[in-house]
Amino acid sequence: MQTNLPTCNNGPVPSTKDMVQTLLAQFAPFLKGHPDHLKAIKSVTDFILITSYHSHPKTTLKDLQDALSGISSKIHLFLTYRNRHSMSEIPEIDSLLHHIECIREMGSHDNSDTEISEAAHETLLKDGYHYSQLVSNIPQMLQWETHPFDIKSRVRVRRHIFNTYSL
Amino acid sequence: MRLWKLANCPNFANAHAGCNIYSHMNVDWLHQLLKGSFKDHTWEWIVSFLKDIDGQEKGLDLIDEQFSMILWFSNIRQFADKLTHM
Repeated sequence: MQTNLPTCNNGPVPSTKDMVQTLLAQFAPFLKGHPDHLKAIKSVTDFILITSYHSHPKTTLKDLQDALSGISSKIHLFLTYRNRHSMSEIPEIDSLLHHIECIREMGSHDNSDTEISEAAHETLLKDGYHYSQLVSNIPQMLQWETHPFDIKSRVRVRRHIFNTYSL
Repeated sequence: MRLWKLANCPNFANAHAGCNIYSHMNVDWLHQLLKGSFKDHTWEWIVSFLKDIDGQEKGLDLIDEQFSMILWFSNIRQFADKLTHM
């Protein structure tokens, strides 16, 4: 039985985390004369990679705090590339402040793996929308989602009946 | 420490009838971290900074060339195609 759910491997498209892993080494030759920019990039990549650890002792939390202070002290170097020359009103950057507190109270961020929702978004939403009639599409998309699971459960029930009652 | 600050605006789900929005857990923290703060903001800033240093087109070509030269190693991905054109 073939379902349309994809497997959650890295896939053909390079994920952002792969870019983050090698980012500092790739940009180091270009930014030889700009050590402060390099430090800003280093603190951003450090923060992203350390938050995805599966467990957090005090040392990694301290590293996170160091990375956060590095970001906040060096982020003004990129002010010229913002629209209104201000670093306020970026909700994504603002949410960095709450990561350490969240890890202390709720534990590490495992189970917040992003690839499951990304892969599910591909099939369950995009393909469902593609196969619908584009008019009142939401019920059709919901029906399209449950269809492979219905078939799978029916096949399982019939196989069970066949195995137990056949001679 | 606090260089950035959110604008003082009310939450849009503040008076939701079905649930208390403040008791919910945030899903996809890491997605917001990678796609939001890194890909949408930091990556754009770095690329535009390199464009300022090396010129408009040459900066992008340098990035593509550098990312295509990653050596084979376990757990490190190679970017054979042009990264900035994706």
